[in-house]
Amino acid sequence: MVDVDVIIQEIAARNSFDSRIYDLDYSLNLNLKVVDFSQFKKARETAYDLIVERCAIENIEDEKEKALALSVWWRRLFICSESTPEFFPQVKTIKKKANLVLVD
Amino acid sequence: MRKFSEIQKIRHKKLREIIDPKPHGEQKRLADLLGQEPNYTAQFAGKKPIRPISENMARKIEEAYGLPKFFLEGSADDKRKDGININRMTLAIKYANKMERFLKYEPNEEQKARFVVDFYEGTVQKPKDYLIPESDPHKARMVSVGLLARELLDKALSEPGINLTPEEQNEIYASIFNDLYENLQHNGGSKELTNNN
Repeated sequence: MVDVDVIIQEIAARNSFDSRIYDLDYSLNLNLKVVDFSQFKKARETAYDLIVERCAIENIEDEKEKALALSVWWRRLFICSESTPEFFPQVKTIKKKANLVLVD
Repeated sequence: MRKFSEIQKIRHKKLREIIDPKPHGEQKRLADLLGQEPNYTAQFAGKKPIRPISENMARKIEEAYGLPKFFLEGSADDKRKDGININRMTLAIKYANKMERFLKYEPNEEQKARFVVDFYEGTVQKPKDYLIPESDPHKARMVSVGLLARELLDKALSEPGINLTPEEQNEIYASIFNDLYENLQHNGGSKELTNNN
């Protein structure tokens, strides 16, 4: 059984720096490189989208439609986990990662 | 006039493509081949069909005419823009599942995906041939898509509140496969990734 709540909380936690991080001067004071800053900003937006999408999926009543939407959501999370593991949790239950094709 | 589902329309169309070029009396011949009354076959083989062609009947018609399995569902090439023929894929998944039951070995996930791809492409091999790695690059890519589609389906099915029948699961698998395949076509596999885990 997948504990989605734990995954969601982890996504939120990894992207929950002080909102002042959006202030470039403040970020530079923290010795964050501009590239790190932009990567974080993008990851944070994606994390926010993932969480909002997930909430919307929970309200889908049609099971087939929900299953399809969930598959898309998991795929997005797979992609985020692979491309920016520092911002997104690794999905521990993946068994068939060999030859995994990630297309976005 | 009766409304038919998309798959029924395809079966009627494909059957007419067989019958139309043949001389007059082909419907009667079809009835003989199937061991049915002409009045009955005319209901689904006529120009204005009033009866759907069931999955069993579709297989019987293909056998009677010596056609490959799933011919009446359209070929693998009958795909809409860069996608796959979902009806054919759904059936390919169903038959691949059946095939697994008759094997003398426990297939791994990649072999299972190869069964699906080969049923879809109409190139099913002998069971022992699946013990040798796939050499066709096109099929190997489709197998990769199938593996990921299966992974995503399993993820969705493991979530609370999702209780789909095997048929519904096959449909969703085919839809996920199609989405991934379309993306792969549009992106040229630019983000193809081989994971070492």
